[in-house]
Amino acid sequence: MTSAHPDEPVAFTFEGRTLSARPGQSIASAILQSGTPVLTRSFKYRRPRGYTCGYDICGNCPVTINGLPGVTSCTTPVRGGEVVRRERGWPSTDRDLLRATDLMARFVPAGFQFRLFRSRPRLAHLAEKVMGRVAGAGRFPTPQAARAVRTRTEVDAADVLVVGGGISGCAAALGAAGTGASVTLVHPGRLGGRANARDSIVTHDRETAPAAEVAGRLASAVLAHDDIRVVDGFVMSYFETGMIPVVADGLVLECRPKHLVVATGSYDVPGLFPGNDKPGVVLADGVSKLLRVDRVVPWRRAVVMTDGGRGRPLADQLEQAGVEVVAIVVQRGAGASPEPGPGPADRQLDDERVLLGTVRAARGARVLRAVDVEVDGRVRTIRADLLCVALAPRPANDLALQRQYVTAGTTQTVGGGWAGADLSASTPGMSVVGSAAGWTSDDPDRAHAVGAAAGSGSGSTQGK
Amino acid sequence: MTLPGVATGRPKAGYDVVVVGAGVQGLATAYELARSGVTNVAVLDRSWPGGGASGRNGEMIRSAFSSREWAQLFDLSLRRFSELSAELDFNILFSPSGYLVLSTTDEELRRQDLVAAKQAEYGVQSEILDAAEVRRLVPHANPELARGGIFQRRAGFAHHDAVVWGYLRAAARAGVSVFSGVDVHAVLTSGGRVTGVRTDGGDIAADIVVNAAGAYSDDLNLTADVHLPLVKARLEMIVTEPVKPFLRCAVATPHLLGYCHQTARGEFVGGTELPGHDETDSLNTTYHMLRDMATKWVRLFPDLGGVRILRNWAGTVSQAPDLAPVLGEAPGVSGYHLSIAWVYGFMGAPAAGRLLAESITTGRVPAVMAPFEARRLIEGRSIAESTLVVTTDGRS
Ligand SMILES: Cc1cc2nc3c(=O)[nH]c(=O)nc-3n(C[C@H](O)[C@H](O)[C@H](O)COP(=O)(O)OP(=O)(O)OC[C@H]3O[C@@H](n4cnc5c(N)ncnc54)[C@H](O)[C@@H]3O)c2cc1C
Ligand code: FES
Repeated sequence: MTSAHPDEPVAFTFEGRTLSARPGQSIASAILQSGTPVLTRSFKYRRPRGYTCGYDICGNCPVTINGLPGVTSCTTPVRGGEVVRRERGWPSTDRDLLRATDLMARFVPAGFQFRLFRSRPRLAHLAEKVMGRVAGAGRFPTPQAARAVRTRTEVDAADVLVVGGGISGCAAALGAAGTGASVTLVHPGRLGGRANARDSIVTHDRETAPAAEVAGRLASAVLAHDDIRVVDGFVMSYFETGMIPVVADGLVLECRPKHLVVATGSYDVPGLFPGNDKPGVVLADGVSKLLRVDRVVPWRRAVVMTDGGRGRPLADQLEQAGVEVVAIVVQRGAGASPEPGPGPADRQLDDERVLLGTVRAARGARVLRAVDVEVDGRVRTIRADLLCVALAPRPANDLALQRQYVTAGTTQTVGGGWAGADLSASTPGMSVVGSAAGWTSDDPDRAHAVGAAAGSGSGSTQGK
Repeated sequence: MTLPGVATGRPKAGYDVVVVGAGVQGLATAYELARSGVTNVAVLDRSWPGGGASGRNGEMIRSAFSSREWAQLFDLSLRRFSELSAELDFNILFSPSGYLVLSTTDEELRRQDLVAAKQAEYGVQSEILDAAEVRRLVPHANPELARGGIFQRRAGFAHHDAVVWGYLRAAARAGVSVFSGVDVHAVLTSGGRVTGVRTDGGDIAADIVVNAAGAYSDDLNLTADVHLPLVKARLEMIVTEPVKPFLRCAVATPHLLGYCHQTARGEFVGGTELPGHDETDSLNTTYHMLRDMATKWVRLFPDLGGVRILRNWAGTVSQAPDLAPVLGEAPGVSGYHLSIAWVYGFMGAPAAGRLLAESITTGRVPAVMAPFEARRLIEGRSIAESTLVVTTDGRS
C-alpha cells in the first residue's frame, strides 16, 4: 500500500471516505485538510476538541487507527491504507446528542457526583452505571491491533542516552559520540523537532542559517554517525536504579546509561480565556508544524495572540501560506518572549494589525467563528477561523525533574522542595540542554559542548 | 489550596485526644470520637489528608474472609459502608457490585468449599462459583485462570478520596480540628502514661494519643518505647485509559497476587505483588512492578492487550507478621492507642474507627476488636487468614 515514490499521494479511509495525503503527513492534518475540524469530544462535558498542539501534548486529537483506540493523530504519519475513525459522540462526533451535558454544565458542576444521591444508595449505584455509559467509556483494541502493538524487550548498553532530537539533542548526541562514547538518541518522529517549522536564524559552527536548515544538517549528521543509535520512540519514565525504558515500534529498550542528556525542548502554553479548547484555537508550534511540515492550510482568517516576540513570525508564516491575518493581539503588560523572534512587543507597533489588548473569549457553537478582543476597555468581536496562541513557551523539563525526584527518594511530605530544582547546570549523571534547560535561543555549539562533556565523563573514552 | 475541613492556624497547646495521621483510619477514629461526644480532638498530619495509603489504595471492600476474626471485623465495616454516604452527607460512591476471590489453582479450588462453609458459620453470606459461573460473572477473564471462586454479592468498592473527604468534613463539622503540615516527632510519656506529642511546632498535651500513622506507625511507636514486629512495605498500582464496561465486580486473585476493579468511567485499576515484600518507605514506582502488573493483568484479561496505562503509583503500609491489623491500647503505655499495621485498612476503617472510639470512651474493649490487640504479637500468637492478597515473606 505504501507508495513507491516518497512524494506520491497515498490514500486512507476516514469514516468511510477515502482521503488522500502525502506520505508522512500527520493523520490529523489530513483530516483537517478534508474539512473536518472536530477530532473528538471531551470526556465528561462532551465539548468538541480539535487539533491544538501538534506535538502529542494536549490530548485533543485521539482517533482509532486500524482498530487501536486512542492514537494521537497529530504525530502519527499517514503511511497509506489505514482505517481511521473518531471515537466519542453519538450519533457522531460532529453532532453529539450527549452534548447536553455541557449545556447543562451550570447544573452539574465539577464534583457533582459527591453531592448526588448521598442518602439513596440504590439510586447512587444506578446513577454511577449510567454515568459510566454516558461518559463514553472507550473500546478495547481489536485482537489484531493488540498484536500489532506488542513489544519485545531489549537491553540498550549505550553510555549516553540523549532524549529529544531537536537542534540541541542532535548537537549533544554528536558531541558525545565525538568523544568515543556510544550514544542512543530517542526522538518521536522526524529528527529536528520543532525547529523543522521555525524561521529563526541560528548560528552553528560560525555560520548562520534558518533553524530548519540547521536542524536538517544536524539530523543528517546524526543519522550518518556509526556510534549513534537513533530510536523513533519516547521515554516511558525515569525509574529507581537509573532504569529508563524507551518505547519504540514493537520494542521496549531498557536503557541504563552512564549519562542522561535531557533535550526535551519546550511546551507551548495555552491562553486562559473562555472557549480556549474550541477547535480552531491552535498553539503556535502546532500552527507552524501544520503549515511547514504537514503543508496543510485549513484556515482563511487568523487572529494571532502573543505576549512577546513570537506574534509577528507566526503572522508572517500564516500570510506566506495565504491565510489573512486580521489581528495580532499583544497582551498588555506582557514582557518580551524568550523565543527568538524579531524583538519585543513594542517593536511590532508599526504594524497596523497589532492591537494592544487582551483576548476575552473564543466564540463559535462548535468550532471557532470569532474572537472577542478587549482594547481600551471595549470588546470587539473579530471574525476568524484560527486563533493562534503564541505565548512564551515553558521548558519541557519533566524527565529532568523526575530524575531529581526519584533520585532524592520520595517519601511523603508537603511540598517536597524539588519543583524549584536548578536544572540549568549538569548534575552527576545528567545534563539538560536547549529550551528544556530554559535556554532562550537555539545554541547547537553549546549543546555540542555539553554532549562532549557527557561523553567523556561517561568513562568510555579509554582505548578509543 | 486546602481541603474543606482542614483547620487553618496552628494547633492549641492541648487536646483531650491527639490523633497522629489523617488517613482514613485517623479520620474515622476522630469522627467516631466526636460522634460519641469527645470533640476536643486534633488530628495531626505532616502531609495532606489522604496523602498516605488512604489515597493510593485499590478501594476494594469485602468481609468474606476465611477466619472468624477478620470476617466479623470487616463485616461490621461492610455494613457501615452502605450507610456511610447518608451519615456523612457525602456520596462516597460505594459500589456494591460484588467481590470475587478467584480460584485459579487446584489447591484453591479444593479449599473454596471449606472457606465458604466457614463464612456461612460466621454469618457472612458468600457463594461458591464453579468455572462456568465464574465465566458468566467475569466473561472477559482468561478461562484457564477463571476456574472457580468465592463471590460476595454485597461487597465491592468505593471512592477512596471521597471516603477520606467525607470523614474529614463530617469530623470537622462535629468539632474536630484536622491539621495538615504538622510533623509529629515523638509520643511523650511519663510513668507509663501518655502525656502528649512533640511536633515540629512544639509540644501538645493530651491524655490520649492515637497512632494512626500508617507506614510510619512503627517509627512513632519506638519514640514511646513500644516495640512491635512491624515492617514497612511498598505496594504499587496501575490505572488504564477508559475501556468499555467489562468488569462489574471487584476481583482478587491470591495466586497472581493481584486485585482489581473497573471504575464507572471505564478505567481498569489493578495492583499486584511479587513474593517477598518490598521493604521501603519510598513512593517511587518501579519498572519491574510495572512489568509485573502489565503482564499479569493482560494474562487474566487478554482483552486488555494494547490498552494504555495512564498512571501508576506506589503507596506504603506497615505490616505485622500475620498481616492482621493492630487495634487497641499499646502494651505498657496507658492512653496510647494504636490503629496500625493495616494492610486492608481502607475497607477496615469504618469498623475500626467505631470500635477504637468505643474502647477509648468506655474503657471496655469490644469483643470484635479484642483479637487484634497488640498483645498477640508480643505473645507470639497470630491470626490465621488464608484469603489475603499479600505476601508474608514466609514469616508467619
Ligand atoms: C497500592 C495499595 C493498594 C491497597 N489496596 C487496598 C484495598 O483494595 N482495600 C483496602 O482495604 N486496603 C488497601 N490498601 C491498604 C490501605 O490503603 C491502608 O491499609 C489504609 O489506607 C491505611 O490507612 P491509614 O490511615 O492507617 O494510613 P495512611 O493513609 O497511610 O495515613 C497515615 C498518615 O499519617 C501521616 N503520618 C505518618 N507519620 C506521621 C508523623 N510522624 N507526623 C504526622 N503525620 C504522620 C501520614 O502523612 C499519612 O497521611 C492498599 C494499600 C496500597 C498502598
Ligand atoms: S496531542 Fe495532538 S493536537 Fe495535541
